[in-house]
Amino acid sequence: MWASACLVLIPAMFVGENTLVPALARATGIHVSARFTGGEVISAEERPGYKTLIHRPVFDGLFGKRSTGFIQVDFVRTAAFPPEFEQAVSYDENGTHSFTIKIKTAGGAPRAEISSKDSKVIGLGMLADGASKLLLRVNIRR
Amino acid sequence: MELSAAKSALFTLPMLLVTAFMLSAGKPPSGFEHWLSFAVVLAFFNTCFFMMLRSGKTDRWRTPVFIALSLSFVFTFIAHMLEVRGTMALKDSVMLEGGAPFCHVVIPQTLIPLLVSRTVIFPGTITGGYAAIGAMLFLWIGFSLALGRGWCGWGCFFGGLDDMFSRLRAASVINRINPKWTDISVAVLIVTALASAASLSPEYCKWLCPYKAVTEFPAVQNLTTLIQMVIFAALFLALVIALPLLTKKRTQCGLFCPFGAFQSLANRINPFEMRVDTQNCVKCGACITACPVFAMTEESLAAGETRLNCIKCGKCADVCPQQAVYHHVKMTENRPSLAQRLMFLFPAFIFLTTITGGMLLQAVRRIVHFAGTGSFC
Repeated sequence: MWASACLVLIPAMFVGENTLVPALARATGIHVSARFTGGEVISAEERPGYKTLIHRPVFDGLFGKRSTGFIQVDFVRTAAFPPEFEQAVSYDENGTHSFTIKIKTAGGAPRAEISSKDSKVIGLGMLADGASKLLLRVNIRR
Repeated sequence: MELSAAKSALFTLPMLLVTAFMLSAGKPPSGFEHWLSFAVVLAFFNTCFFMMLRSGKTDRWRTPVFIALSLSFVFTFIAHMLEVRGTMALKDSVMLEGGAPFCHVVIPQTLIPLLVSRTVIFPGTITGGYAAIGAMLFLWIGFSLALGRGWCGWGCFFGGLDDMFSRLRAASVINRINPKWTDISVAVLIVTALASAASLSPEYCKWLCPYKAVTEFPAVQNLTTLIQMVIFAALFLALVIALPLLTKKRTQCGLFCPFGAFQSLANRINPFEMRVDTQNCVKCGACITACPVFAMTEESLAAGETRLNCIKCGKCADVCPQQAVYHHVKMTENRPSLAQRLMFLFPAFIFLTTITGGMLLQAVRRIVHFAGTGSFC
């Protein structure tokens, strides 16, 4: 019986793939880990030439929160980036924990500097230059 | 189990219709290049299936399609990467934007976080995009239920590479390999699954996957990425080229691949298996020598079955001088049967050709285009 069902199952899988996969993904609630997506965007800001998207702090572990994590900030090109610009990021409700990102885009690959008086801010974790945006991760402690 | 030409043609007819539908996606091809590639691929698939039935040799006629799958995969994957990214190197920005293609080898590494928190620890997308996670998980679940570890013989787009290299020499140089070495792949599975769960990152892909050498790899930016590249290249040369040439075995698939080890478990829950007719078997050991993944041993032969890691390629049945090895549906009478062989071959070959079809069509189309214009794009 099961062997006979396989004759139908395999072709049906390919035919129904485009419809069933999104439905199953919604039904099961599976999603890509925030360690890769950067987590949900909690604030957005329009500036001349670009838009800033600030993601939530990511401390996600397998069972709970980790002691260290990161905040991802995306600078999305809407025109050309200014040669130099700054972005202040506060990542808690009362503004206690914050840092400032300084980006230089002039003369070659973009460079970033992080400044903060907050001991929970560890420093720059990653800077990646994508097709449509600059993606930056700042490592932080919980 | 040879069939007459008429019977073989009769049984090939449904395959012809299914493959024509799958290859064309229900629409007639448009333009000369599309028609030509469609006709070539359709004829190739159905000639192989016809010959599989006519000659009774499963593995002999599975192999050309399986190798074509891997070669066309590598060709089209690299072409796609070069067109989209301009390089085979995987940049940080692509990973952060969820642009990494997902493959089945990642699945065992992602399962613990997936079960614990429904999160996939891979920089891809669930739906949409190139090689999305949802589509691969869906196909894997369906295939595993239907054909178990047959994936490694009928669906893996990497496996054809070491299968190809394992067939290039007429005789092996290294003849005796203890099947216990297959436990290495179980160890790799356990270590990489636990390490991936702990780090929330697919560690096998980051450090140990030999196929990175011919697909995509991290852009070399520092000592760590340089070491990763060296490991990928060394493992590819050793496990996919050198050892298959020397042993005539699929050493990457049989001894190292954590997905293969994991997929062996799926052999428990699917209806098909290879059986040995112990009354007819003369214990010549031809099947043990031929098995590419060490799934046949003297003990398993005496018990009339294969080990759990059997990939159902049918090579053991092809080489058996007594025709004592056969495809079998579990919980049915233990004897060779055409109906049972067909019940396995139809879903397995449809899966193989559907996975292969799109990539092979694209590869043939690019080659036809190149012949006409001097450009692959």
